[in-house]
Amino acid sequence: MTRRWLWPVVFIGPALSGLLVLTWVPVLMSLALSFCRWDLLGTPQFVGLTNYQALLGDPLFWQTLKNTLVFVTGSVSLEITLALSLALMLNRAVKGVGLFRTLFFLPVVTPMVSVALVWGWLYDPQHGGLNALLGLCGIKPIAWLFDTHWAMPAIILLRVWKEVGYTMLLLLAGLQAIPTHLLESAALDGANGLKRLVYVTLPMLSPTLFFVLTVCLINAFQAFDSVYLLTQGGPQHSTQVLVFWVFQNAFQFYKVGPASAMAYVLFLLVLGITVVQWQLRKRWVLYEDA
Amino acid sequence: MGLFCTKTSLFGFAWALAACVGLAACWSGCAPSSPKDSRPVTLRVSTWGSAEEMAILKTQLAQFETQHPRIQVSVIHAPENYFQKLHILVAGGLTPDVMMVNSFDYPVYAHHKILAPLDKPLDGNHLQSVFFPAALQAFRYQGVLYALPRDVSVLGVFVNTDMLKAHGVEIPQSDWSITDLKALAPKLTQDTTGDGQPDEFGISFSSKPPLMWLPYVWSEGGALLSDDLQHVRLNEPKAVEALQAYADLRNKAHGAPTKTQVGNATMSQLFVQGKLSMLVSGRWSVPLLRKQAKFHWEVLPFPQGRAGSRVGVDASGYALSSTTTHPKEAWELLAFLTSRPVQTAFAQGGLIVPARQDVAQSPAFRVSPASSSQVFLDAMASGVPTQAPLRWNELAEELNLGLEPVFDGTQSARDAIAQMTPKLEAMLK
Repeated sequence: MTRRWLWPVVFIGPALSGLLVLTWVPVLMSLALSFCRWDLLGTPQFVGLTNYQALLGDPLFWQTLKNTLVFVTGSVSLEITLALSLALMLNRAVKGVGLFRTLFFLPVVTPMVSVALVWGWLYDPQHGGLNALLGLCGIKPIAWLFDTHWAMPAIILLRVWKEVGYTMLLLLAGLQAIPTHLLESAALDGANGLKRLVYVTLPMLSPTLFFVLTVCLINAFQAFDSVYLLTQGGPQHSTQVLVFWVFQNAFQFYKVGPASAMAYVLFLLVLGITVVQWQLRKRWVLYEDA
Repeated sequence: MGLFCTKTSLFGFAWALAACVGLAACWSGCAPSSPKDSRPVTLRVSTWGSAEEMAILKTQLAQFETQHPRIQVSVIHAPENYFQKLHILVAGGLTPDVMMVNSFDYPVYAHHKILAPLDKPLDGNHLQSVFFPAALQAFRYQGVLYALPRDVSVLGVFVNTDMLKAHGVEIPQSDWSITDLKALAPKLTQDTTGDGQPDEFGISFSSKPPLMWLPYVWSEGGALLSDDLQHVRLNEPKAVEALQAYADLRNKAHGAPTKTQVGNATMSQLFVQGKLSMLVSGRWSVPLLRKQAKFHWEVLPFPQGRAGSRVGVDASGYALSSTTTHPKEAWELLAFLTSRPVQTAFAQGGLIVPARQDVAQSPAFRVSPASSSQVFLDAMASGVPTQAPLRWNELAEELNLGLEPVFDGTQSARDAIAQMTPKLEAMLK
């Protein structure tokens, strides 16, 4: 009886120690290092708030922040809209629906490096598939990844294509959990398809939408691989996003202090947005038990 | 087998090795002695390199292990982002015993005393007679030698002679000038398919890394940094003018392809495909051309500007960890890796300009056409030694991004350089 506390500790201990050593210790060390100057080789030197001050005074930081917000807004809104449309279309008993669900989910399980290679070719201004398609419609070739105006939309498009399957799957599960009698009652009361969507489906789906929005936002803020593989932040910083900036400073320039400071700015930003979202949920998320 | 393979220098090498082994032993508290010598030792050596390069290295290392039965060599191969990985290894206390380094990235390790100084254990005069002085110079940080060079990186101009002949253009002489290039390159830019877009181009255009465009600046008498690496000189008129002229060669004279025209292809690929008449590149392009080029080619020196033909003289080589627990064996491996047979094996593949003078003069390097090989040796004599401040990576990235609009033709060199100079200056402090 006195040893009842022991079993939970034994069971969660291994997972907890992994989390502690591999996540929480580095997170705390990173906080300490954000107040230091360190190139990974010498001894860290305490510099107070210098890294944070330098960050706020660096025009590149503000441009990176702006790029990140554009990326997050663009990719999350497109991803959720498209995923919802796909989920609504695939939430029917039509022939071949399983095949379509699989096809839309395939990019999610494809490694990003392969995706980047293929999309790099699709975006090639000379021989790319995308420009060839546009050419059929009489549209002049676009320099995609080499043009400061098009590089960010190109990266957003790639992300939406890659991630939409996962979001679609979550929304599909949400849709299937909506009791059919609600929709049937609405139909009997004379509600047309659009009204059933607006007044029944979307409110009933709102808890799933809330979850999807939160996860998509957090993931989008952490976007790195597509930028690293396709544009390296260019052309002319137009696709420079926060996590790429952190990586570049820490592992290319060996400036661990500023990189850690930026990581904490990112953390606070994501935390802030998540808290606001959590507060706002009461206004639009419908819980059945509420 | 050792650093020197001629009979006259064999004695010198034996002496040098004995001296270095003795001193090396002292770094680790004079610990290694005869009883320990029989114990098996595993040395860790880190390197970058293509599959082809690794095949040569592994064959050579197998020979080393045969000659040194109690030493096993474990290779840490990082073909991409090598220095990021090395940095993490060092930071994590896993410094390899022997590390491949280049003249741009080694200073930070020398600065932190990660690398063992090599001057004292080795006979300087002998080194000067074995290696090209420029190659040794590339590995001197604050006057101290930190690596023995394997190869020297210098640029030349690879010319598709068939393409020039097809366009009725004479192949330039070896004393050609940047003015000749400016006249020639636009003539070689052609629209062969009649779609209104050029599909053959005069000369390659590389906006990064900086060492690809710096020859245009240096040859016109300009410079990137002051000799003491304390100040930026790119904002001086000669450099600004030269950079603008380089950008104009692409954007105004249309002698070189734009980014959109190149797309995802590399300049080497365009050259091999016969879409580029001239390619500014190094010796490393030779194996690819020998294997894939279906045309005749030769190598010309970089064209002369007002200050002559001046390209960067950079080097790659091997350094020792200052904290290795097997200094004697690590020294043996270092000596082996920079020995004549090993450099000969690499030179035969056409991959490197050997840092050893004897290999550079041997048939292994001077394969047909010998004149093409000589171009790289001549470039070394007239070239500019590596200028790599501690924050080189950051500086290079700033240059890559800051000059992008200049090379794209959307900003003048004067404005772009004026904008970035304060940032570059700050990186030198």
